[in-house]
Amino acid sequence: MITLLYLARYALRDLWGKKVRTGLTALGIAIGIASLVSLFIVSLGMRARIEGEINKLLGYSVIVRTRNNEPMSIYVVHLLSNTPGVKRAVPVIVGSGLVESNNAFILAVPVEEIEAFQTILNGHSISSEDALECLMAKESAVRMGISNGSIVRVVTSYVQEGVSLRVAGLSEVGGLFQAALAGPASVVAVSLKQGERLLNKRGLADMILIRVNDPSNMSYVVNAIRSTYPNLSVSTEEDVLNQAQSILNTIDAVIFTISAISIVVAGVGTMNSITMSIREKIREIGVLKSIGASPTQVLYIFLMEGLLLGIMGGIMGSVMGVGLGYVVVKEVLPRMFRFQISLPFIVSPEPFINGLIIAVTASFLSSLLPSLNASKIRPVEALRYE
Amino acid sequence: MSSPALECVNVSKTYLLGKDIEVKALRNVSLKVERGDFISIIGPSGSGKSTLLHIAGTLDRPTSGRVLIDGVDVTELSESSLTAFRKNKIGFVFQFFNLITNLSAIENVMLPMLLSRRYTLKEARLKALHLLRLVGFSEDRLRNPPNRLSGGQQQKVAIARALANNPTYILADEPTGNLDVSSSAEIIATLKLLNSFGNTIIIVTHNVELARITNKIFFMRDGQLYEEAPRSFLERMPMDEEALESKRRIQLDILKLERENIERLFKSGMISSEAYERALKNLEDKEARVKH
Repeated sequence: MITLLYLARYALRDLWGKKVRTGLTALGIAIGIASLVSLFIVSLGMRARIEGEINKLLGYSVIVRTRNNEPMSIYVVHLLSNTPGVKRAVPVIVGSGLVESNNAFILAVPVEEIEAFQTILNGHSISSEDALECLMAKESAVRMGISNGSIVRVVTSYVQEGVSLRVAGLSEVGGLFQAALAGPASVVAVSLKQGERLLNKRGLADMILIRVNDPSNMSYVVNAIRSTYPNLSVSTEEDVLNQAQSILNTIDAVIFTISAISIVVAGVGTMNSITMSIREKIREIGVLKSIGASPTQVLYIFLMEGLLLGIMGGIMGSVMGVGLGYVVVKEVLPRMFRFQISLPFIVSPEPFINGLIIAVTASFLSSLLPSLNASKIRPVEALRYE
Repeated sequence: MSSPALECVNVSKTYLLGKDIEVKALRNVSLKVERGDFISIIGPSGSGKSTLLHIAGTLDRPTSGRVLIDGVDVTELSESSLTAFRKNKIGFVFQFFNLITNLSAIENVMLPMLLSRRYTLKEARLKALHLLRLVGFSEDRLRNPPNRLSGGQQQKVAIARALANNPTYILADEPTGNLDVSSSAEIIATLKLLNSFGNTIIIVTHNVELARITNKIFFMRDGQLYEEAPRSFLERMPMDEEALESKRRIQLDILKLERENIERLFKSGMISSEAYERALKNLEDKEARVKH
């Protein structure tokens, strides 16, 4: 153990003796790790946000659609309401139109349910099903110069003359779930009755949100609906999450591939640094072997150099990555898209640990080959080396 | 009766340069070194001294013949066994000191002990301190790295390092080859002292002064080892007659060129007749010395 510590100190001093090279190599690793950690933080934020959104929307609920995604009769809502274990069946109508000549996504739900879909920041909810009122996403409202109480004209292909609605409240926007539904379009929430009129879906619903009266009844309700109404597709929170996860996993795979390239580049940098170090120290390796250092001990010295570079680069990279992650989440992403994405900035030990493990593993692997070669150098040849 | 410290029996070493060219570095060399011996191997460059030293130090293997250290035949030992053997049985002193640059003087001496795993850190430090005192290393420089030590000081550290694991013998390759006169004298005195304390020392050197203090002098030429070097070699330069004659001719040629140069300068009036006479006299003196 003492011998290993002594040799580790030897490796550390060797690195310290070449500060510039050590610093640059560690920086190379740090940049790779920083990109990985920052993307990891963005990914964590995205996941948390999406899970939160889905959870808020669905909670102990399921979404029912027809298998071909055609609208279904509102009668189905009544049928489903009577299914044992169901607390409430909420019809939802969705469609597109124009608000003050801007593309808009129209979401229509019964007024008493509207706050489950939209968090109101200013003003109040829609007062009644008949009221000519709407809720607007705050960001798009601001962009269009619309404030609380303004009158907006909503036009659809069915109501080409348009309907004037008073903006009752501004809602929170930026939810990824909403962004995924509406894209860069503005989101306008109206009562179910107004929605039926605007989108020509009287007596119809695009989807039905089912609330169960007890969480333990969830699977019973899902199975009951599936067996009774084979033409309907039932999505639980888990199903929606899984769908979202698969999209997120694809995004993750792309960003981690990009990060992996930078880590490979850092690994090549480490390999180069260790190879240079070994070339410079060939004679010293010969001396070490002649005074009794075993090939394993020589291997250990240079692997230790690689590991130390990895630890240094990993720590630097993790810290840089957290900072970069913060900037991306809080500054870059919100400015990059027309619709606002407000992701939570989550600091957990996970990115740190992962960053460190990846840095150390990459450095270890990239220093393995040159170190193995160093351990095999014959002392007599190393001593002759000038 | 205990076995010799080192015994080389009919050791030959042939190097291959390219595909066909064979270089016979050692030809049937036999050498027996008893415990407490202080021997030197002298000879011209390329005579095979260093090859013999490497083989005696288990750094290289003979093409044929046997090498026995402490009675153990090491000729066929595996690389890892040889490493263990070197660690415990052989101490090395090199011409260019070859200290580990990242370690301080005392750490360099501790290193073989720690590599052997036979010593604790405390024991290694204490023994290293005693060894450095023994070789006359100044104690206020214990923590200095090698680049802040003089050549003589570095070589003392190297000798202390060679003694670290109490080896069967010390192999010293030109230990004074890179030192000034006074440092050489100190190293020679140190080695003599260590031998008087019972350490077996084998030196390969060009330094006749150093060879003279050893108990036995071997002479190497063309890969063959002769007991007792020719007197003329000890008295003159460590070079064989043929090489010496060739060097003499080169020196005389240089002096001839010098004479021609002076005559040209005199004829063109660039130097005075007194300066010409003085330079000519100097040249004649030098020529006489070289011819003698």
